Amino acid sequence: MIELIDVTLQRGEFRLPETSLAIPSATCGVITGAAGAGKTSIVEAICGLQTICSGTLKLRGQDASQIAVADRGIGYLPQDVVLFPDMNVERNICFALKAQGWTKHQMHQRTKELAQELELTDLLRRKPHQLSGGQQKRVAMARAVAVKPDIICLDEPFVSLDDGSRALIKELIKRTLAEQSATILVVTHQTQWVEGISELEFVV
Amino acid sequence: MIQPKQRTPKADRRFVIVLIGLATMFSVVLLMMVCGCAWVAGSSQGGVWETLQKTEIRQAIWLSIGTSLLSTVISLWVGTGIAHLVSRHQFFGRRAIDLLMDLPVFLPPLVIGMSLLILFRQTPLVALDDWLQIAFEVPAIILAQSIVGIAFVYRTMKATFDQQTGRAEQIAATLGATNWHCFSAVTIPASKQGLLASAALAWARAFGEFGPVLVFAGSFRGRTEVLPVSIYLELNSGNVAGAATISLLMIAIAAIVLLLVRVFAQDRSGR
Repeated sequence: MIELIDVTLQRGEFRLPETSLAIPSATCGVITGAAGAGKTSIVEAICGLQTICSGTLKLRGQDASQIAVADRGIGYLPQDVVLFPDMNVERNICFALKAQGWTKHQMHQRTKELAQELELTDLLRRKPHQLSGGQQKRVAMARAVAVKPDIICLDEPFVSLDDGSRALIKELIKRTLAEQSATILVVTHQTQWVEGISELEFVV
Repeated sequence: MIQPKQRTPKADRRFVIVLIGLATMFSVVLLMMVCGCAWVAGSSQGGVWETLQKTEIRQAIWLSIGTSLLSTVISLWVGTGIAHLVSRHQFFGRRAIDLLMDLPVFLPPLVIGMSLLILFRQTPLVALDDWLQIAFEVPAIILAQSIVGIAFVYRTMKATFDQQTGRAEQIAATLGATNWHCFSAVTIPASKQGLLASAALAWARAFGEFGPVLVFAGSFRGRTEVLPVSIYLELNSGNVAGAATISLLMIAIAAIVLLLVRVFAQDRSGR
């Protein structure tokens, strides 16, 4: 569960006014709003990459202010993708699995599964700079959900993609929601791609 | 409307010619220095080969290579660690550390040697020195070489880390990576070029370090004699040709390393 109670944020000149939202477990919520309204700031605050100025942020019912970024257990797809340039696709997907101490066999199985689902099987040995923008986004998506986190934040997962890739990502969100009972927060302008998945919509 | 003044191609050519002249002059001076060494070395009685066959010179070669490599590794570890700390974290005393790290570069080399000697022989650290046998022994050479090496690595690596956004490390942290995992798996691979440049600088400085080594480690033949000290000892005994031979050897080793670094760097950058 993700809960923001009267949260304010400051980033340079930008200030997010008091914002509250709550997304229960096994639910997908969508944040929409004009560009520069603070959608990405909210997601980054949830992931621990931005400090909140006031208010309370709760994850799984616990105050998140004392939880380190690495311990929040959130699968995060950043808007700017940010793949690790020196690692191939397979190692990028495995990054979180390795950090969580999965065995080699488990890592191989999970990577294979995600690669098939997101049509990345033939790209596993490639470096990020050898991929198209859409392929990079699919790799980042696989990396975000690899450890089967119970909270997932996706920042503009459908931007700069062809319809085929969008459909693949939509299907993955749908399956993750059904199988993992995850709390999923999607920031998007293209709400048509989360129709039938998201139950809550927040406008910033 | 004011028309911009037309520059003549002749004026541009003159500018380039002046710069080419400067580059040529400097290159010629450098080449003449090397040729001068080769000429004096070749004029020695036994020739270059005989000088290099001397036991103490052969020991000095291996000691120089060994200590410079070890101090390069130490410099890389310490310098990179401190650079990452100062570049990525905000804490009290950060600016003071940043300033202090430049000190070894600006201090006269003899002062570094003198300060190390005083630290290990005139302060309570003398007990540690008596126990570990640092001053006037091989560890003194490595320590003296590392002090400046660390400063060079720090400056290069801080510039490298400052250029990075740190975004990849943030994302790695959200994926559950510890600080150490982020540093080793994300930051270091993204800083390869900086590390290579740092290692080359630290090694070159360590290989040629003379002042601090002479004062802190002494000039004991066959014990703390690195190649720059060999040159000094040969000159002191009036053997200019011997000193020139060792200089030539150092030039050759440095040139080979420089070439290897260039090839490796080009290979890495894919150019």
